[in-house]
Amino acid sequence: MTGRRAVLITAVAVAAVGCSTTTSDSPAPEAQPRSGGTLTFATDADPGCLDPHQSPTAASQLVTRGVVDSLVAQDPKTLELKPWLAESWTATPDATSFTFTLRQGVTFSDGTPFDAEAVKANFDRIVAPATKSLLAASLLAGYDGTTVEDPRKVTVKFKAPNASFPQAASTAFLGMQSPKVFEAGPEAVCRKPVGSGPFVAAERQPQASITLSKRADYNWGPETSGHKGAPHLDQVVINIVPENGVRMGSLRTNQVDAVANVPPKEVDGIKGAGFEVLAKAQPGIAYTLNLNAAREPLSDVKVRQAIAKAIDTQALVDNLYQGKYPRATSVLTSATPGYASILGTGQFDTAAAERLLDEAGWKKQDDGTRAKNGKPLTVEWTFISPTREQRDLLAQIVQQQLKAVGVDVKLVPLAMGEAIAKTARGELQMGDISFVRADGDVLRTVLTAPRGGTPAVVAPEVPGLLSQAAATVDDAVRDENYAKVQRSLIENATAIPVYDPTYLLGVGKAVHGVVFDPQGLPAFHEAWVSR
Amino acid sequence: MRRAGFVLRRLASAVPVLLAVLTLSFVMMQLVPGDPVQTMLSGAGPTPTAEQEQALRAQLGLDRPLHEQYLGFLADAVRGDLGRSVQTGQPVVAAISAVAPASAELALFALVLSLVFGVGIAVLGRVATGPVRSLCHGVPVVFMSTPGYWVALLLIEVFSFRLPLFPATGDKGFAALVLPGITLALPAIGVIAQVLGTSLAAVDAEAFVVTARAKGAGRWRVLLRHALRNASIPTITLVGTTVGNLLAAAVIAETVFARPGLGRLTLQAITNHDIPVLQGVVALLGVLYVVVNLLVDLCYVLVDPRVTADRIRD
Repeated sequence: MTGRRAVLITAVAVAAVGCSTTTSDSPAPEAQPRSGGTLTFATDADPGCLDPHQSPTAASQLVTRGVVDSLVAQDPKTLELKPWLAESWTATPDATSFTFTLRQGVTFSDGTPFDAEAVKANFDRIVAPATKSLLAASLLAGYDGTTVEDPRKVTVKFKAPNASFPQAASTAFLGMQSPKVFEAGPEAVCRKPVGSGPFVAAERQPQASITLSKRADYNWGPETSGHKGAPHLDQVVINIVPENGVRMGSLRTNQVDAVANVPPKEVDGIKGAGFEVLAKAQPGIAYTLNLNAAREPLSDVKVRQAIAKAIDTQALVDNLYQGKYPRATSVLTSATPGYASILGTGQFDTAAAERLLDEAGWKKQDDGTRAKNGKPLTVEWTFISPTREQRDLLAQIVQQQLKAVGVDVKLVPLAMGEAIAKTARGELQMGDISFVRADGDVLRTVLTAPRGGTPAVVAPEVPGLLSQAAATVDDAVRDENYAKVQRSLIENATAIPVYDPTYLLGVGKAVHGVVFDPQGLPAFHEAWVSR
Repeated sequence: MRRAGFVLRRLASAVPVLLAVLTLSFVMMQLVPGDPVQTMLSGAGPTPTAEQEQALRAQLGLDRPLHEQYLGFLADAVRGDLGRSVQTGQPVVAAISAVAPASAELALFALVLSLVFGVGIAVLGRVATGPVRSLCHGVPVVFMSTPGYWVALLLIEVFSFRLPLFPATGDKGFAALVLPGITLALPAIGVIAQVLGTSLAAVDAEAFVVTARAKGAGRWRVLLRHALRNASIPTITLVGTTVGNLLAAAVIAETVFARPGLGRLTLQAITNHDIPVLQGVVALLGVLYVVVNLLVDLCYVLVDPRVTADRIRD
């Protein structure tokens, strides 16, 4: 397992961190928010573990974001970092040490005061192996410890530069929980996290619902929020309704107030029925096809480029998602800091694809397939089954499009464990991924972090560009480096971006003030109901 | 007394069956493709570390030799400890008992519906004439062959979205039980109606029915007092297997109607590769199988005094 092998990461239960500005439309401003009442929300996935330090899933984030506050807040619109539980912070120029000055008067919902000791307890706990953190610990990669300077001042140190740490600290994954609950063990925290947030995780019925109730004395909402006090709503009931049709019908018949993940084909119908569908493009890695340059026949750049040109991404996105998910124009989504539009409108060009394949020596045969030295041009695409967002259909359309230029794609649906083991062994030819995070540093996580000991195949300059970006707090340098990396990935055709994952939220007429948090997930702190 | 002895012997015979079920569930999990540790860590996106993998492997006992894992699993299971869910950290027994009542409620309601309507349609099919009779003969086949998923969505569309009579989702109260109950019961109604109908037709030609009729007994009296009792043995057997089927079919009903239950727990455990939960569900199903079979055997004895407990087992 030595040498450079592509890591084609296929992540389905993708983690959510991030933010965006595009395609976000918010409801027209209403009259005065009304206090009280319950908002019923139907989501599609059971969040399982509710401890953000442990669980990486968006389903879990949706619930826990309202329960735990963070040191820093990221503005959903400008992506700027603003004070929250930390009033201010400083970083050393080499981005290895960060000092936070904490807000006073904050308490966790169990009465424990929030202070420097609590911050240390949280970070130490996240990196402790016993916590079994699936994502949060990786956001603290290189963690060298936290020093309590005084009750209001705390310094977090890293062994290697980690310029994106403040952004990471704005996510619920690094959210602050009451140190008292850690004593009960990770399992207990999974069931009931205790934070300082506007909501308290109250009742939970397995597989059915989770109830968040208002924290009446909440008064430390972030600067990025239009509302800093206690939530208007008494309760948010989150029902788990996996079936799309039933979830949409429940909204139409007012059995619930809002629904998660409206299927693109339902959007127009729901709007037509007088409901609103709010869209938020999610930041991070776009849904991208990865070609493993370490394996035949994809080791030939011409073959990879031909495949990239043979896929009509625009038509695919328009037909499958009815334009509700925007076409990706780079490996980063357009909502990500550091995004650079690489593709513009170009790329799809079957004539060029055919020419490249001819040049690479793969000759078209009578039956329309291509072969070289008697070997057919076959590429195996391993995807995790079951898929979301109709990615199985998407794969079939891509298969048809590639067949047109003589590339035979074999679709191999695999259970997640098997697909990932295969990835780790470097056996994948073609795979897919999307990954949510509102920072260009997500490229470093996905491209250079070793998985099963095998780093991704990228151009030689890429790892250097990414480490440089991680080692500076100068956004101009970071943006420039991320742009170079994105261009390199497209030029070498190891990555083919397809669409920018977009959260589609259906809301009923009585619902106001539901906004998207920087992760691109709906937040209920400012929400209220009129009825 | 003979019955008590019979029950005891049947219970004793359940022990090797349970052992076999536990063993099978253990073996099954070994055969499931994919590395459970990789799967469990896969939510992390690209960066689970070797230490994380090792820690999880050790926590699950997957670093021990297979025979040790097996014996450990059996020993724990006997003590009623089925381990902890890998996804939630909750004890498996707690995870199962949290949703089992909802499943039991649904299965029981569906079973009552199946029996009432299954027997009703079979009987009506014998005594009625003309179009009603044809209907009673045709309907079971339709019920058996209608896909549960489609039925569920249709019921919701009509009785929850268009006519707001029942809630589409949830498990609050009897109203929430009606639509998933019907979804689950329909195929079972079909099967029971058809099997009982056929048995009733066969019994009709037997001597005791002819005799009863010759003595002047009315159509209904013959049917209820004589034929039904005799025709019910195959139906009881069928009800036994139906209980098993109800649990399997519950996955669809529970998903569509967003009800908590064993079906969804199982589905979720499969998706997440949550081996301890899967093993727990399999073990529970094994116990249920044994209990239901026991009850079925007892029903034989109760329904037909000629059948003694000993003779059934021969």
